[in-house]
Amino acid sequence: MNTPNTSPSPEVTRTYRRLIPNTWWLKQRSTILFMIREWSSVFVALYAICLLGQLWALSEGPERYNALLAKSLSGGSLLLHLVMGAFVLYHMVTWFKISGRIFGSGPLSPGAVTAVNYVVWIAASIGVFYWIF
Amino acid sequence: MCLIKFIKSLEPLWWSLFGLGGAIAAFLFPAHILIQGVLIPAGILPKDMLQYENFAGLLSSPIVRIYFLALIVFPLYHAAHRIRMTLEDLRIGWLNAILPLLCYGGATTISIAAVVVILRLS
Amino acid sequence: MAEQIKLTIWRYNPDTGDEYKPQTFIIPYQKDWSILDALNHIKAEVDGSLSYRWSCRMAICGSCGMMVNGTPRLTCSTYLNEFYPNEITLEPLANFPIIKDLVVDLTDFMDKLRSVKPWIIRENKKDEEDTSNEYLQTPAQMESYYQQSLCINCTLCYAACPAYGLHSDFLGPAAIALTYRYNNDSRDQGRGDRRKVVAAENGVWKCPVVGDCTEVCPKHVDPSAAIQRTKVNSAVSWFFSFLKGGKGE
Repeated sequence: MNTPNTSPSPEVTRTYRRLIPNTWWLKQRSTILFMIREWSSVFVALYAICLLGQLWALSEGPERYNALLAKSLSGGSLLLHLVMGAFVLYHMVTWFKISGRIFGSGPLSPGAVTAVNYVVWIAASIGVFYWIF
Repeated sequence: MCLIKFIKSLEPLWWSLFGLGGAIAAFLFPAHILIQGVLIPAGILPKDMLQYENFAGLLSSPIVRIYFLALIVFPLYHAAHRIRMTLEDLRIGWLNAILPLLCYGGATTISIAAVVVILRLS
Repeated sequence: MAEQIKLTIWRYNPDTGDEYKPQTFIIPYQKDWSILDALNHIKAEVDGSLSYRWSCRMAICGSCGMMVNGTPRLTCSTYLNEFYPNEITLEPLANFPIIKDLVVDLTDFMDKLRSVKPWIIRENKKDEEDTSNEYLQTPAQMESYYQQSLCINCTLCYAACPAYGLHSDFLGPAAIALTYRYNNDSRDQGRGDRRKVVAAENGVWKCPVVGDCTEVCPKHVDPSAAIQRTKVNSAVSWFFSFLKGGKGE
């Protein structure tokens, strides 16, 4: 009873298997959005590396740090941060939605959990602003 | 191959790091990017909060140093896990077999660099 | 002339070689017909060689699932009037091998379903045989698993799941939803038995959270949430077993 069959029944041997093209994710809206969500993580990593670069420059002393600061005030850096920001925001929206579906059950609906996430996010953002800066 | 097998046996660990990093990136990255990367360069906020003296002063606190370390390390593992899973689903040939090693290895290497930098700041 | 509707059906005949190709049927349009009614019309009046599975006609047996314009649906509860005057394309459920026409081989799913022991397990085996025992359950206890117990094994979620299509060893949505259903039943004691299957490399960890399994479920089971909750539980018990000196699971 506990050992599963591992092969199809003998009469079913000439089955036809459809191949899945590598572009499988382009066929549906849900999988395209899924891919965008997954690749948002590249920008998450990129920003983590930006933060590391900033701390490294700081550890090198004022000269190196000020050179990096001057660069970070440029238009190019602003554009890069806008792009990273857009992907990070998409990550955030999808993350909060999924967390609602995982933890929302019983009296606490998925929507309520997602709403709590946003409240915590706003509080954390204000916290970063006042505490860190 | 033995190493890859071992890495794959730690699936709950990678998933937990992914989850922690995803939460940190979702809750904290938008504010950091907005303040440091957008509002200050755009001149909406004064840039003195990022001046060397002020920023070094901020990082002189061990709690802030640990905060920044967490801000770097966990999101790196988050990205490593997602990139690994997604590339596996895109089936990019021979690379697939060593993806766990490449992705988690990469995140670990940069994390070690982050620890070194944080220690130099102490 | 009476209204007509065009159905394109992808067919495969194992006896005439490996061709898998579409065939178009133009049939009378009846606005109260389900797609299954249209297939029954084709089989009775147009082409008796067409093969497909069906039984109950009321979305409870779970045997008439097909890809309807690319989305897995139960054809007994999907009506022509949702598409008319546009045409409808029918394919056998995605991700499964095709036996003939719209009939797919579900052996793999059945094996996986069996592997998670979707029945109530008691530590004391005598409990399972003793029919005189009553196991009372509060409404709240029942509520905790009820939604996941509505699964009819129609496998639409497997057809919607890209991870199952790409990694055929993935345990898949319905099997994990049913694991969740039994693990969260207050009468069940089999969580440990099932853990080595659901928390394995090919268990919950293979799910990339696309969420289409939940979208296509005709019974409003939520496999996606069940899988993510199982990930949380599995990760927690992995860390605990690690702390206890075990090698994790």
